[in-house]
Amino acid sequence: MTAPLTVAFPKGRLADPLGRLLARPPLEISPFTGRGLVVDVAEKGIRFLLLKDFDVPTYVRRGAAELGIAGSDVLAETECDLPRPLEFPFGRCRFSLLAPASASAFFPEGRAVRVATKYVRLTREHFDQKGMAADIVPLAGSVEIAPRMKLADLVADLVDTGETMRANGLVEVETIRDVSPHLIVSRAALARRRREVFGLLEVLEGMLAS
Amino acid sequence: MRPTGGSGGARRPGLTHRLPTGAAAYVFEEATRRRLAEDRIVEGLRASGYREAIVPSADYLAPYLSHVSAREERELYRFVDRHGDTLALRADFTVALARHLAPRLAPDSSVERVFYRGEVLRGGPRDGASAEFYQVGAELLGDTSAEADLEIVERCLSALEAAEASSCHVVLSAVGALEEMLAPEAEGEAAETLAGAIRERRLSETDRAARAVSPEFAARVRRLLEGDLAPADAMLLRLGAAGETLRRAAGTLSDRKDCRVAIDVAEPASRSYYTGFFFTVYGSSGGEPVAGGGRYDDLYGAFGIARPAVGFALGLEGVVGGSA
Repeated sequence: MTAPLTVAFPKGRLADPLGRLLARPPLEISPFTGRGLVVDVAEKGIRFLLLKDFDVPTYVRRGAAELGIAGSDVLAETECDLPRPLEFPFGRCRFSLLAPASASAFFPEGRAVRVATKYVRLTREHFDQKGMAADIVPLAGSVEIAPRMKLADLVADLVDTGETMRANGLVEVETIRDVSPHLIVSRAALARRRREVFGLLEVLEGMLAS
Repeated sequence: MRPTGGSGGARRPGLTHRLPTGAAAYVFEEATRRRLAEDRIVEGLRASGYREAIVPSADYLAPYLSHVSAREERELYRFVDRHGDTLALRADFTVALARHLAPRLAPDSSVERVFYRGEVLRGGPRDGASAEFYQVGAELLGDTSAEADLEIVERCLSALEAAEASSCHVVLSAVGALEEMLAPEAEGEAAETLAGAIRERRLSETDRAARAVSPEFAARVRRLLEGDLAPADAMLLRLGAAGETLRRAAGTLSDRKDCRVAIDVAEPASRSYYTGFFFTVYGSSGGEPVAGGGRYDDLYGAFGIARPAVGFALGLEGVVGGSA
């Protein structure tokens, strides 16, 4: 019996819109409601691994999954250079610099600006390109409270509707890059399971077009 | 009395048993298994007329810089020696071999067969990933023929067999082949854009662009995107010598047991110095290639003696470790 095609699926902000897409025909996959992190859809020959967003590229790059879904923010931060056959038309947002709305100046004088973020590499690259000294404060989450707690002057994070930003007294200072979700595919999977990979790609393309 | 473990260990006791990031040690059965596999590979290469070359594990950085990509340069381990010169640890055998072999080659067109083995060190961008790899590889110098290319692919697959790799998937490609196959319908910037989308395997985007030209072009683009060209595909005729290699290699290798072959010109070259035909070998599991090789006809000329060359390298970690 052929092993299922394994798809690394992000549990974060993209999970809901992706779930709605997968529920449509012809896949008609029910939402992942249980606590299991490996979901087999045997009748479709697909296995989903429910993962932290930042782990998706690792699973695909190292061959534990043939395909994966991740935001361009995650792909850039992890320097993932795998093929990206599909860009999804939902879940788009911005990776931006945020500052306290009450701040009289966004960039301090006389010292490097302190920036709290989950995206150390992208933030470092942004300030390097600007030629500005920056002290990057790496955080795993809840970055929006860093300025209030005097941990950082600015925050570099995703902005979607802007609700979380405003609820934490922040304003958008600068858009660093636009972000969109992509399907990624392992080159090893293309070599080993070419027909099946393209078969699934065609199905997904059809679902997005309908 | 001086404590055991060296002066570094004595000053920082926590380091006594720690390994530097990405380094690896192998002992007992693991070491034996790797050495036996290496011995079998080397025995096969010697029996086929390949002679060993040993190159330094550290060298001046400057001669290498024009032969590595920006990403490869970032991965180099470099240091300053006591004379103030910047050195790098060996990250790739091919360039090192060209640098040290070129001055020793006679200025004629003689054919040389060379093999090498040893560690390479590359500090990749991913924290904690392996940085030290043990490579065995071989090069055939002075022969531009498709037979030479085929010999190298065959030697590579025989080496994988000698290391008891269970199965392999060979992807055959050539530098610039994709852009050439898009001509004359797409040329210059248009070809680059379309080739980029094909390499990303974007079905609808490439289909839209190609259909705007003609249904025949769309069918060609689709074959290039799916990356499994038949050896008889007319598009291969446009590639000259590289096309001949791709055709013959696909035909010859398809008879090999436990080996699947695809001509996929959208596969990217793993090394920036490749000039023509190249190939990538994936094992039965894992995401990274277990071996690869290709033609680099300009490399030796950069070190003083122009000599066409084709070669392969395999990483023992990927083979003995079980992904092949």
